[in-house]
Amino acid sequence: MKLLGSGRAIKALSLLLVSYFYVLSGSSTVSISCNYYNGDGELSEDISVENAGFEGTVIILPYEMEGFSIFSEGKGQTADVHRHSKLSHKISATNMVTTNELQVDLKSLNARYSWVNKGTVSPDQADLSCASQGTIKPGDAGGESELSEASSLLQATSLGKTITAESALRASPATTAVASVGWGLEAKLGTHESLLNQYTNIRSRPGYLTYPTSQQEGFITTGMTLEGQDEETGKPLFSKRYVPVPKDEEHPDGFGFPLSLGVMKVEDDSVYMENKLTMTMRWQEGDLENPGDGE
Amino acid sequence: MAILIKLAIFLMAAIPSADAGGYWEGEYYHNVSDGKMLTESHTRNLASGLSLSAVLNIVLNYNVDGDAPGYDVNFRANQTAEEDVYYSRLRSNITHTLSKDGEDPVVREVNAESYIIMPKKFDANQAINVHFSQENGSEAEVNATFIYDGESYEFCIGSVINESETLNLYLYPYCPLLEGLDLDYENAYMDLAGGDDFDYEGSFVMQALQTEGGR
Repeated sequence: MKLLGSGRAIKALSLLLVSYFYVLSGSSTVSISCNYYNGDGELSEDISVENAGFEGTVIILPYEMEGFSIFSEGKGQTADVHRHSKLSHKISATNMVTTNELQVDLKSLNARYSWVNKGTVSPDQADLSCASQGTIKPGDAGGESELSEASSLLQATSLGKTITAESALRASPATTAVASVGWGLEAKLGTHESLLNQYTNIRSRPGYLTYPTSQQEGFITTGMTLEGQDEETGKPLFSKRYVPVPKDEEHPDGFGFPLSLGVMKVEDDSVYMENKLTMTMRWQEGDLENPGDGE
Repeated sequence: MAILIKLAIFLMAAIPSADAGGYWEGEYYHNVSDGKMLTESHTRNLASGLSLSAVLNIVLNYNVDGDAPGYDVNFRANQTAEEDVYYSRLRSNITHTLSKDGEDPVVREVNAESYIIMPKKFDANQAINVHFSQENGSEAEVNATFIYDGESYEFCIGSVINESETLNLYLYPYCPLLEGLDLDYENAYMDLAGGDDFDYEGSFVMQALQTEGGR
């Protein structure tokens, strides 16, 4: 992405508050590509929805009024639970110093999902942030929840490092035993310290318990990975991290990667299970020659 | 000729005290003369959280196809149970080697994992997944007995392995008489990494919870 002109000149041109709102829904595929920029940075979004609703808001501020200079928020949800549906949302943010890219893909058949993505550029090229969170829920009681898939990819370059975080989730038949699946990821990139978080939370319905299984055909399969590279040399900063950790000689008692969950009915209809997968990485300016890999 | 079983047991390599947190490891060696049946049983202490008297007995019966004499069946099992019985975990890696005179030995591998979830009032659930990597037509049976404060609860389920050579066994024992077990269970691990200029933390947490107003 490329910013147009000098920051001051663009700032002068963007002395108006720009805010607009759009809503899309229906049974067809709709794609949107937008760029928003001013002297502090640029946000780009590519959105594609199929049988899903989407709405977004963008605010461009030339002043340091709200702690941000450009703010974009988009959210979507299934329009018809009984139809095949896809959502794809990519958001990129840059402030000429660093970049932040977030890609979220969802698809479902007879399941409900919703998600919210945000991108922010702060004044004076200080901070960037991107975040996404959402939930997947089974379809209505009369339908069979056939398939829900969600995947996200976040790549952030900051303070000399490029960090890539990915998560994926696939839920296939009998997900009616699962109350909800929530996921989220965020990156906050600063001039001195940057942070990346991602999580997945799978909750069973009361009266059902989930359990890890080695079966390939588990009802729910999920996992998260995190990689880091030196921005200049491309060399890995640390060994690729997995949640859950793969089974190997070092982790013989691990649950394996990806995590496969089965679901069982129990007598007590008040009990349920929660499975939480989390990853956090924080990095600062430092000696890039010796990033280390302490475990 | 009746089944001859030369049974050499290299067993119980390490059994910590019952309150040390459920751990069992053993190795079996079975030599079955006619190759018709292998019977293996063991008793394992389930330790912390449940009761020092809590015992889980599992009996596995495998009917091996083929009636030619001279089979040698090597059976090895390594099982571990994580320390919290609210979500206990068993794992078995079993290798059967069937040898006939003049023929190449047939090796079958069985990987079994067992999970036991015991929320409040011993509403225990055991799921056993057995995967046979080779051969169809085998049968498996699992008998489980929970003994708690002198009360015995037995469960039995058997199934023929299907075409995908995968067998799922689920036991849903429910023992409303048992009291005193807290519901909340948490099984977590942390994966930490750090360097001069970055910190990483990954975790996976499973929790058994209860809705408000639940018993």
